[in-house]
Amino acid sequence: FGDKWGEVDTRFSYCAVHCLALLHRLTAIDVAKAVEFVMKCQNFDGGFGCTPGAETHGGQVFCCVGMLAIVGELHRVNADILGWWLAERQLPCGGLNGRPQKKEDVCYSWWVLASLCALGRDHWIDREKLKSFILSCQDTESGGFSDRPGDMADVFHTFFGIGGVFRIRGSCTT
Amino acid sequence: LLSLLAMEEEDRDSLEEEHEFVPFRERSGWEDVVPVPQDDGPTPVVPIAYPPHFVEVMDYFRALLSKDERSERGLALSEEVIGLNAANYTAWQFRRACLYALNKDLHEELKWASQIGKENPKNYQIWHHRRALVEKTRDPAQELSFCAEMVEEDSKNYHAWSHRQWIVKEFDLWSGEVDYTETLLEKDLRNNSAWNHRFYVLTHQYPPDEAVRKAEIAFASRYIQRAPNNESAWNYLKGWVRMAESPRSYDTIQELCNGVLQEYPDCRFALSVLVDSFEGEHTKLSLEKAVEICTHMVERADVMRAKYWNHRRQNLEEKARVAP
Repeated sequence: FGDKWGEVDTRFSYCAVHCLALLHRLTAIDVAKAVEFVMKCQNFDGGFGCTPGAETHGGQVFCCVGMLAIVGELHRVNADILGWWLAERQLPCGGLNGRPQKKEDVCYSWWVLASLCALGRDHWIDREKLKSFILSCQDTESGGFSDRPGDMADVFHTFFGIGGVFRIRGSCTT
Repeated sequence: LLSLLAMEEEDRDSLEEEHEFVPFRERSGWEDVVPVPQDDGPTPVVPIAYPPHFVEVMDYFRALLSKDERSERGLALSEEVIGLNAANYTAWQFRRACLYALNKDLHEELKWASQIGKENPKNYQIWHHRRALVEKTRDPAQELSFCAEMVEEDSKNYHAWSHRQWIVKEFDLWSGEVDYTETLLEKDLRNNSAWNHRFYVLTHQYPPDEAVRKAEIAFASRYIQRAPNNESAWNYLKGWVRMAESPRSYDTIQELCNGVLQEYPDCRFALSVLVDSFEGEHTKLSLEKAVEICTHMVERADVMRAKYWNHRRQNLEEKARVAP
């Protein structure tokens, strides 16, 4: 999937499919071909990138898992292998990163956690530790959340931090 | 909206440099244009407090857009809009339309794009602009060195790596890429992007030779021995191991893991790969060894993911029960 100006990226696969599903118009596209493209983006580690061969990345995994889940094709993914890659995103501080050897970032509390939930593997991480991490990212003066403790808060990280906390609270698997 | 809010300090300063802004009524050659205001509907929710000069530039931009006027002034205006918000993909699209209609020198445009790209290394639109231009020029000459320059600044810049992958595939520039990844890994053996690129290059002709697979397992092993807690090298190794058709050589992998564990008995990566290897070997003895390691993980080596290791253990215990 790309925008009408040619930029191709699995982010668009997810956005398009999610919007169409909400509008009950999935028939407007060739779902099989869209799934085919997403599956081509699956990598040697079980994860997904933005285009075929691109590095597995937490945000892109969310888009691909989300897309496949919405159209009922999530069974094509090896949930154990991908679930494990996602679970390995948790760092000793409790926060999650988006790729191996990168720093924790509160937005991955959403991208990675939601993916784990979709795969039914969210109990594979320490959710309490993650929740503590998310809450430590809140700026007690402004109330907003930053990517990691001490940085400047912004709307983007606030949204995903709150999303993560609520996901943990209403946990999908025990 | 988010990109406006997430704007860099410098851009915010330039927004505030209203004294440098020349209102359109004072610009010659714009008298014929009727500005088109933004239509937020009758009851806008959370309307953005745009500075006045931003509003004016956008009003004039919308005017040209509505006429699809691909002109010199359109091109200039696109640059002004991009200066105010480099993520405005409509402005970028319109810019390309002007460039093509006016038959502009796209190599010059690429130079300009390089400049802006260096200031905004993670801007999707600039990278896409680059790709669109190169699709037209069919000249990748500058591209690999530009990507290398960006990677020099930020070794894991996702856009730079994606662009490099596209260039290499589109123009068949595979030779030299494997060596390039090695150069980068020598600088930083934890660079996950470089590991990924290596895998990409070596597997573009699927299926790769068994000789390549063996060589890459040895390659990964050398880096693992240098720095055993390198998640990327282990993932790379697993990728090649998983690819193999039976019979697999468990000895090599188990030897590597045991070697690491002698010095680092709690190295969770070595332990994890050992579990996989014992599971693959699938004898009663190997499965029981795998179960033991899972207990070690739960109790010590990977407590955070204890529930995962309990799940693995249960699975392996079941297999061990029925194994020959």
